[in-house]
Amino acid sequence: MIRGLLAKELRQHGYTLAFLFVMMLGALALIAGNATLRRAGGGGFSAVLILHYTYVPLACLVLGQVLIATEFRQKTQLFLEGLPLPRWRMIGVKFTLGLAVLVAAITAALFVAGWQARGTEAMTPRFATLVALKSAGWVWFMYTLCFALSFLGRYRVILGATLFIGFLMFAESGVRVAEFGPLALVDQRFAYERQIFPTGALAIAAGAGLGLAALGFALGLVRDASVAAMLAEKMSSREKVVMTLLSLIVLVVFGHVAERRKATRPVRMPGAIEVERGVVRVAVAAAVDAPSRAESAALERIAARAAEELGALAEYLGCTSFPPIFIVHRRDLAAEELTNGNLKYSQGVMLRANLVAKDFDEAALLERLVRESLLAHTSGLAGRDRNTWAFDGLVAWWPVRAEAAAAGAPDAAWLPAAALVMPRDFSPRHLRAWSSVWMVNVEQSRALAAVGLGVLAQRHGVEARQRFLSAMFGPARPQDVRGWLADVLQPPHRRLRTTTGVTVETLIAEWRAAVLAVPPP
Amino acid sequence: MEFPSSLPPPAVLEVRGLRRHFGKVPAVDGVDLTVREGEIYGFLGINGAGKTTTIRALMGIIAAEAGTISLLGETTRRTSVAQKRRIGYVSQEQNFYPWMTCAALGRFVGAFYPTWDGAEFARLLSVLEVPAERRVSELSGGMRAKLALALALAPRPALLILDEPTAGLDPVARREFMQLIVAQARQHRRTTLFSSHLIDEVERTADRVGIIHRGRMHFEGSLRELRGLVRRVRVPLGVEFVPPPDFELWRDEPQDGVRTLALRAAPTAWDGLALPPGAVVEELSLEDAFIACVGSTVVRL
Repeated sequence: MIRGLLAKELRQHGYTLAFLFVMMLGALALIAGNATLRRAGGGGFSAVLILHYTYVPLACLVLGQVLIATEFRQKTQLFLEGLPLPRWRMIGVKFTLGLAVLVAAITAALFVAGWQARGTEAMTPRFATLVALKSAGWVWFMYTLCFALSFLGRYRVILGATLFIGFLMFAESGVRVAEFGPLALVDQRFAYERQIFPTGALAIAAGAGLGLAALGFALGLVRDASVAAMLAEKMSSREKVVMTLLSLIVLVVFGHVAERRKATRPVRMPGAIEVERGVVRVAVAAAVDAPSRAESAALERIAARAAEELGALAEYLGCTSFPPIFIVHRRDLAAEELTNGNLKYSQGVMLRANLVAKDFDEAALLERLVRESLLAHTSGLAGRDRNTWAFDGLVAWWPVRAEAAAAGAPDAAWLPAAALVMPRDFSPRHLRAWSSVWMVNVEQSRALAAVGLGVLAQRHGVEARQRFLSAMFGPARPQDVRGWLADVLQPPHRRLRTTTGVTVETLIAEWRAAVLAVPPP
Repeated sequence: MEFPSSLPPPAVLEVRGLRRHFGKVPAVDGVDLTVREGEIYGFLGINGAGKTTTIRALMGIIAAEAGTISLLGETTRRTSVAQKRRIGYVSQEQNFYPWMTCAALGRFVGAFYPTWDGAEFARLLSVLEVPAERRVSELSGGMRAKLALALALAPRPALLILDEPTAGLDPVARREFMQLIVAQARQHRRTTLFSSHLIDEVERTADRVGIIHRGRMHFEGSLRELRGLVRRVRVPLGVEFVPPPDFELWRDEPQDGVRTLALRAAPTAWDGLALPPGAVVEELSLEDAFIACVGSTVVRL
């Protein structure tokens, strides 16, 4: 009976299983050939770790799909049910076959890695047992997870994707998911740890795997397998809508939780000069042991200037919060070098510069601060293609707003450059895909954007420009689906109309007229 | 076609009080049925009456909530694997593996039956004109039904259960298929239970019938018994007629200006029935008896 079932599975899925083995062979070749990894220590076991992250989840998904999900989707389990065959045995054979394939593949990988490492590493029984146990725990957990998911039929992909995205969100937010049982088995110590048995992680992986396997069997057996059969039915249109909404809600909740966790880990710069203006807080520190008097003076001046500039911007836009700003003085940087500290948006903005360099451009630093802080404030949404024209215009105009206002003709400085880059058929389409304009010339496209904002102020009043920019960049946007949804539901042309009463077509017409009025160079 | 009833043969299958709900809906609500050795039993009911649920419970595919199944001398709540090995089963839909050839399917199914006769399977395929080396996906509906029959017969089962085996077949294929069932049943005295909602099919084929409606058995016996028990009384409108207490009223409705009643009573009771002036008693065809039994009403537009 079992032999018949096994023969059937092998005939039905032989190609897939062969493909998995070919993949495994490729991975083994990688292990054998990867001299870099061997020299880096850890022998081929580092490559096995890579397999654990890539091959194992993929193989588990494929096995669950072909062995379980396909059977229920094609309703061929109804044929098996008519045969003198207990249902649990049918599922048991599939479960065992999939697990055996996976265990065989990983065992082969471990043997090859061990064979490779025999000359360079002390292959003690304890180390071998450790590596084998960790691999077994991880494979067991991943396989049972995919096994249980495969019984969820039409919900398996959406649930799997939600779990995966949620996992990434939590990992991104700083939750130490890698320390959770099964994941702790395949952390960076996998190829090196020779003494400590991760008993806790192994126990969690074994227990979770047992629970998942039991869940899979329960789904396949409960109510005479009608639950699994029902779940394998195709999704109706209404269900698709509901599931999409539910997934969005789950992602919003995940994002919210992750965002909250991120916010709880602020960046600290001990010894920094801190200046506050309204909602803006600027901290400037020197990455040197003993800053000179000139350096200290520069730090204080920059802190005050940046706080003043950004405070005014936050006030202008009506921001109720603003990302913290960190500026780090580094002597090793060239005068024109401005490097980004790569903080998460929720942590704020960090820029590094040589603040006392001879040709240091303070204006460039301030312009960069405006750009980066608005990106962080809107969780990057300010930089979306369709928002970019307004963003570019604001960033170009803001640092020189005083001079522009004093000159009385705000567009004059930018008009020649704008005329060079403005497409002949300049239309709302170009505003939606601003990248098509700035691909011609970034600087000129910024001039064109600044002219647009200038025209808005000239023709409809400076308050109209402020209301529009405030609606665009004033509210802080969370870095998750909520922020994205808010941005999608309120495109710039709608914000322009609701805040100023001006349609984008009107603005474009006035904008074109202003630029075309410039005599050709 | 009817079985000589002097000494009834032993029961191969006896179901008592079978019950199964789906949610709050009673799919099968206390079904009793008996299939005797060597007979062809027609299990008749409209769509959704509970035929498939009963058969799936008989096959152990679903569990019964209550009741007993005595199958081939063994009484259980749920049919065991050992019992299933002695049953040939043709389901309503043939969910075969489409990539298998008919011969490969035979080898696969044969592994589950100790009594599997490979030569018989090959012979059946040949007789039924099913190409052994053709993939299942390339077979027509009729061919698949024949393949299912060959798979069910090859283990030489003591009992053959067919769940609406001709559903989806054209009239010619349907008749041909039912002739095959009758032929093999008569030739090997193989006890056969088949479900259907097609009255002519049952009338032509079955020795005894069971009529199921809304999960309950309304009648079980031979067609002759059914005709003897259930008759139609036509009474002119306006003439009062109350059926006596020993008559069970199955149906009562005006039809073509006449009150038409379908009544069930013992054959002897019909001889003593006092009728009002102008009333007549008529015998019913199986179709009329079936419609009277399941209680459907004439749609008036």
